[in-house]
Amino acid sequence: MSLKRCRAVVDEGLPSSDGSSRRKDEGLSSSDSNRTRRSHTRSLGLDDTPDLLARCKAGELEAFDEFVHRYEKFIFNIIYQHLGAKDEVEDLAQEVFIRVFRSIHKFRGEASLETWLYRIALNCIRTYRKSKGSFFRFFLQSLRIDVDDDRKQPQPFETISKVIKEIDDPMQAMEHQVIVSEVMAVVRSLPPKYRELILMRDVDGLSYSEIARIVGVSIGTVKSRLNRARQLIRKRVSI
Amino acid sequence: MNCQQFKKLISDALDGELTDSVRADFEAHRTNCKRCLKEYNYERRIRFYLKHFPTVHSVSSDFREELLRRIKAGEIKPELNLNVPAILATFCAIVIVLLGVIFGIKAYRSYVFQRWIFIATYETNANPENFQAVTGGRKVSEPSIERGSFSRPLFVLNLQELKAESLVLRLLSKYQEGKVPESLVESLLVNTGILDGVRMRVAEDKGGKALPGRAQRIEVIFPAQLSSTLVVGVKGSDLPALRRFALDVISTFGVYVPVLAPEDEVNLTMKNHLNHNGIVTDLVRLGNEELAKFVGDKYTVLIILSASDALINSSSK
Repeated sequence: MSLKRCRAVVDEGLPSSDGSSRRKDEGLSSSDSNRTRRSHTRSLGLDDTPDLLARCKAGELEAFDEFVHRYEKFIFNIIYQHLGAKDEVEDLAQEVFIRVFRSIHKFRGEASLETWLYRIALNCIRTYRKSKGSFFRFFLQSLRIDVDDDRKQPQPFETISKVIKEIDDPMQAMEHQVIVSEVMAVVRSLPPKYRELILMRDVDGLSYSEIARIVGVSIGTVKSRLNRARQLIRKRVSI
Repeated sequence: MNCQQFKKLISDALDGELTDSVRADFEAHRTNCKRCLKEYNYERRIRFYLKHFPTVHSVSSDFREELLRRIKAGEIKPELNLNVPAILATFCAIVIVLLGVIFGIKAYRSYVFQRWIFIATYETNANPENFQAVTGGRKVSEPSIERGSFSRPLFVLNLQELKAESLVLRLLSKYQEGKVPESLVESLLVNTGILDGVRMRVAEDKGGKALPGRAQRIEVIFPAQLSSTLVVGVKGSDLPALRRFALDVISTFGVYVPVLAPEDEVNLTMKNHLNHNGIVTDLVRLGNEELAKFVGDKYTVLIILSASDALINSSSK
């Protein structure tokens, strides 16, 4: 019964969350809808970013602190979406920002800053996943030793469910949240090359060209992999 | 637009990438076909839930504090580093396994291709005194000879300090190792009749059954003492192999090889069976380049050896 109700709600189109589909139905252009979906990432590109970047490149720690403050949610989101496990996100986010700190002087602005950060985060995630494999775990060891464990706070970030945020009826929101969890589990069970693309495109709202640049494949490959990924999800999800 | 075309366009439609004309067709089909509408809605629901994955709402300031502390403390090395002890242990394990494999192969080869040690003995009823022994190489006994008409020149291999039996054993040993061609063994031992009446048997091993890799002792039993001269017909192509074998024998046994004196030539050429004009060529002192010219024909090689003692116990690998 609850699944049927969820279907009805989604098919009818939620007033705030499914705006893109509504807009499409109303005849709005594709770029408009994509822009809306990417709003949370693009809103980070503030006017003073070039100046901040220049100061970071000069090695100013205060500027880098500001830079981290500005992009930490963005990076946390990427890692959280790709990894799924909350307890590993912080450590990996530290590694991403340290890698950014080491290589920020190499950033020339050929791609957007978000694309560059996304690529670094994705590389860190891939390395981390590899290091979790039994073969690499045997040959690799962690340099970082957390002597001061008491200083470390568990999960220094909070997540929020957009469904709960957007749907007023708590019961309905919970029912939707259950389905979201099911879809998340299916997405995380996909092979990496499909999982990464689905997360980048449908969750983070990146464009095909951005995904192609981050992953290092052609746009055609991105599209065909996305189609395959969606087929796999369709087969595994019953909603 | 049919259903198949519609399904292919669902993804693009949800991405908002259809042109106006295609979108009009697409929407018309969606309105009229219930199955396609269902498919479209299903795909849209998946997109909806994907877009509603939970996101990070806020990050604690502790995160930045910890990050800055690490940067200030210089803890900015890559988190993952090589685990040297594990790599060394793996490397050692691989080396040990490889050594084991190599040892195993070697043991197997030794087991399959067993080394032989040849030992010469005589038949107990043979009387060595019936055969003329040669001392100093001046006096030539009745030779073992391969008869036939061979091309000139006459090659001489002067090994007068080497016992004939030692030469035979060494040749058998080298043949067993595959270092001497079969045709040469045939020329030196079979065609000259040296091996007539020669028997071989595995020597009794007092230590019990031979272990893998341990050389097998082969007793070569000669019916009588060998003659001190061999007149052999050797193919031109086998001459370099014979020279190599001779050099190996000289270095192994440490025999002195004197230069042939003129009177030796006279004595040798006076033999009726040689049918020779008196010119001889020293095989050992002839270079390989010179020998390479003698290809195709069969040439006579006179091998001068010393007589054996009553019992030879010479062995070689």
